[in-house]
Amino acid sequence: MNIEQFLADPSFEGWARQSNAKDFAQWESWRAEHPENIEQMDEARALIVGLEFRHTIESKTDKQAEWDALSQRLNLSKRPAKTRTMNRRVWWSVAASLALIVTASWWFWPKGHAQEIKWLTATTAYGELQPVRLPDGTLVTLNANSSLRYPESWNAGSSRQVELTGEAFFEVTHKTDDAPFIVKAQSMEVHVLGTSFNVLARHTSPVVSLVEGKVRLNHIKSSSPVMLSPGETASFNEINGQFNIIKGKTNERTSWRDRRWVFDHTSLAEILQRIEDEFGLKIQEIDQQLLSRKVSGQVSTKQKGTLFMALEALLDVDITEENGQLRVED
Amino acid sequence: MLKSSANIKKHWETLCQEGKPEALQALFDHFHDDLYAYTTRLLNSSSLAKDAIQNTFADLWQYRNRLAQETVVKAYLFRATRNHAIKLLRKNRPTVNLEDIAQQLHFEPEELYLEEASLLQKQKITAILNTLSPRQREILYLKFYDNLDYQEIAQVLEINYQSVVNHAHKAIQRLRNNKELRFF
Repeated sequence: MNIEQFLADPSFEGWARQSNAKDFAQWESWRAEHPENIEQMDEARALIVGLEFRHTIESKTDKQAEWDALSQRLNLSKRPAKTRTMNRRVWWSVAASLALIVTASWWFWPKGHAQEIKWLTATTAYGELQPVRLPDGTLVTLNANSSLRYPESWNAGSSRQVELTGEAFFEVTHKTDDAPFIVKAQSMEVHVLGTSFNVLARHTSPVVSLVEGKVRLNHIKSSSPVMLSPGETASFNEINGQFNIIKGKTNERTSWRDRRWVFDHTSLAEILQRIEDEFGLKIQEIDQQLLSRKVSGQVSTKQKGTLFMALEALLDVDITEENGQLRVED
Repeated sequence: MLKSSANIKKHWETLCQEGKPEALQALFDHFHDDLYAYTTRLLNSSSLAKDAIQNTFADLWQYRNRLAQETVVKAYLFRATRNHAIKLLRKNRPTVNLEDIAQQLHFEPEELYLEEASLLQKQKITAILNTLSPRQREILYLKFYDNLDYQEIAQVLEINYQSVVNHAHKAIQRLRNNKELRFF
């Protein structure tokens, strides 16, 4: 008999571990009759019994703290989750302007008042993209006509919260203390652990596309949060109170960062909405049939002129821009 | 031992069927320390280990309705945590070679529970164990520290049973070749 055959026989373990008297007696007599198998038998026993190692205290960590962190992340605790009622301390009182506000003055703000967290707002104009580096190192690429509110600093270990209107791509820095990163966009919350993702929060319910890592979404009208995996895009359906999750197509959602739009059976209606949102052009009345025309491919958005030319070619339409108005004709 | 594994099965079923947080917590309590010790040594990073365990249990909670009821819970959790750990490691170091995983995995002489052996003998045994290939070390680690059988180890490492036994066999022969250290 070879090693594998010994291991495959359940009664052999009874002999090896001396845990079953009948098995032990049987294999002992077999062993006496087959001395040529003794070495193999002992090897097989060594494989089964092995050695026993036990971890010392040093290799342990605070299990309770780990459970607390997990139950908070999953909203399992019975206490109201802290993240739901955001501590609104002193809000940045200046209304969002069209220019990116990162003034030098906040650097010199007195640091003495521990309770007062200063909030900053970064805003982009039409057609403008802006990278914003947050105090924790997280990089946010703000799309055109969007704004992001964030505090000038975060306390170690406390959750990092920001508020978004418009669209942005987040590359979140993972903190060693596991401080969660939370994006509030309209009625939705995105909870993050070291990851990159896109949030679009303009008209309808926000749309979140995850590129890598893991995020959890909460909506004030949803009974339970939902987890997103890379490559998935989620939005909240206000009517049935559920999250819609679709796989793939995250590339379409994030290509704006390279000043490219990627279309996959995208309707002209969606494209024109985007032009209105990101270039601030009003769309003149248009043939309804034309609006449902679909297009696939990609176009550069670096210059309005080339974008319109590409759309003309893709959709077989005429596009003219006049005094902030856009006319689209068959 | 039997009583505890029956309890684990019960908690697992409660989690699948009723989705109770208490069941998740019971599993977390039972397995956390072993999973933490394993992944910490596997990747030489306690923060990656903590994240990997958190992600594993977050998945359990998220997919509690879809979990298979007949599962070897222990092997499942070790595999899931290992996979999460590797994913996190690759994110931090995209160029990491899969063969480098478990490079840091090691055995401590003080942790060898063998009454008849002296500390010097324990040091010799662990010295041999620590010169095995990463794969052999990982297999024996799961066997010696966490008491998984070879079928379960095959599940954890996602390799076939035969290759687990072959690796373990070679490693055991190395140990047994040293006559002075024949403790099994």
